[in-house]
Amino acid sequence: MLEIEDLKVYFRTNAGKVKAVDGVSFEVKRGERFTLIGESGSGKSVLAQAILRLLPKNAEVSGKVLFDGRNLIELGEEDMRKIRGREIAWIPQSQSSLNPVLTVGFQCAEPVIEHFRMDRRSVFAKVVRLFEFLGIGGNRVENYPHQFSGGMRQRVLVAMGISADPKLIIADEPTKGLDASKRSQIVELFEKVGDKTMLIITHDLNFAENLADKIAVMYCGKIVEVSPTKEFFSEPLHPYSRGLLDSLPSRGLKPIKGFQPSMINPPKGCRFRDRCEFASERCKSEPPLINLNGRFVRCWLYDRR
Amino acid sequence: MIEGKKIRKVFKSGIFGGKTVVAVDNVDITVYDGETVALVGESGSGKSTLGRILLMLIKPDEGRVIFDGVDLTKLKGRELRRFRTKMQLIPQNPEEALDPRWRIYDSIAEPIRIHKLAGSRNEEEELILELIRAVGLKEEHLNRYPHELSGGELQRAVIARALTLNPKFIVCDEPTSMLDISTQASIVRLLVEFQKRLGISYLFITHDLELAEVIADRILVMRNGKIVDERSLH
Repeated sequence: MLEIEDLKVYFRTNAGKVKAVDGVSFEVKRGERFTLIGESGSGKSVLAQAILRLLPKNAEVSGKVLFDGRNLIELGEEDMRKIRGREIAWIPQSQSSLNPVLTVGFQCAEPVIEHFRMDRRSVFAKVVRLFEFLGIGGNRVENYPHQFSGGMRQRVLVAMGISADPKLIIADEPTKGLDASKRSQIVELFEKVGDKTMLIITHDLNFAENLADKIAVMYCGKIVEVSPTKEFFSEPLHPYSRGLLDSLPSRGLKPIKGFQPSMINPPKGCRFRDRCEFASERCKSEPPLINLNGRFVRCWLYDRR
Repeated sequence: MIEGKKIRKVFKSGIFGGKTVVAVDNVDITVYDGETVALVGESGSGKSTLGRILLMLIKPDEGRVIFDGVDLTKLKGRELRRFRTKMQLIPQNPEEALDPRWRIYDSIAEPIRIHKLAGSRNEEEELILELIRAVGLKEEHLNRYPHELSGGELQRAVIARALTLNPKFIVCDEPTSMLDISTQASIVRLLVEFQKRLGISYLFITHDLELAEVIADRILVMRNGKIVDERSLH
């Protein structure tokens, strides 16, 4: 359904080129919940914005984003507008993504009005049903964003994302800023949305474990591992994936040594090598993406040639 | 040792204070020397308000705060200020904790200047250099502004600032909830290391029960302004 091939996003800045996404390839199959995890600065949000072509003008994008066979990178702005919201929905982070002066009901109705030319009354009825379904309460469509709590606001954003019945949903850190009990409610909420194809971006490992079918780990603009969720949590392959899991409180709270390198001048070869306990001489050249029984890892440790 | 006895705080809002919210409702709490107490609860349960009352940053409506045998609620201005050096806050959002128009150096130096801990400029500089090395920052970070640091680096700077006055009690108000997981691990390790070295006691406010179980000696659960559960871990 969504195939990404050698996608690169570079930003021109005064300090030099920032390679935010550097040669990323992966595939999201129909009905799959594909989760992209990575820490701040790993390029995961930029990747999602590149798919929907929401990046600022100083971004240089190359590679392919194939959505149902069409390359989104090459589409014109007019065609892109028909895809955004209608075929691919974007669920943004809950902080400040709603317009404070419009009712939430209107904001959820907007994509439907925009794409379907339905009359207002039936759109309104549809939004009320959607609010009931997601547990927001149909009587709250006339409320404004400030009248909702953080968890409820996230539900509204989900309602907004699915109101036009898109084929693919991209959610950007849906649990950011919510506390633990609210997070499990968001998991239930996404379960409710059903077997839709989703690309979820998060740094919340517990959330990913509960929701995802497949997990891709991003580090410094590159995908270093793609694994099914169960295997990822029981037996992570890449040293960075292991480090990430070991830093969870329940798994020993062991920090990864060192700091993330600068994206303007990242180390040559494997970008994790300065922080990796298994680093060797050959890590100075770029490791290949190795296929291990359907799992993918970008690390020399798994090279059996 | 810090003790809160029968603490109550009501917030009033609306015209003429028509709406009231009981943020902290008749709470008894004790944090012993060198102990880490985790205060967990959902957002809005009153845990941050309770933490700030123990630091006397919010005046309680009722109840007393006793620090090493002295009732802080009875103290005024200058007398209270003496105790301020012994109690510090590490807030949730490091981006908002530091003045955006000050260099990191000046933010860390501010408490030293207010309480006149350094005799000269050189002495102040030595103190600060020692501190930032201890929290894992480099000298070059001192000349930067807050927006030029990452979240983890900023939180280290905030911790350095909190440690300048050699406090005995620190309220950590969700110090890692805005940080990445691997950064969270290193910040929590840092806090634990300082506790071992300096014998500080922590009130660690969090909504992450897993984290609380790893770091705390005792866990208090707060709901609707009351402490509803207490558990010892070691």
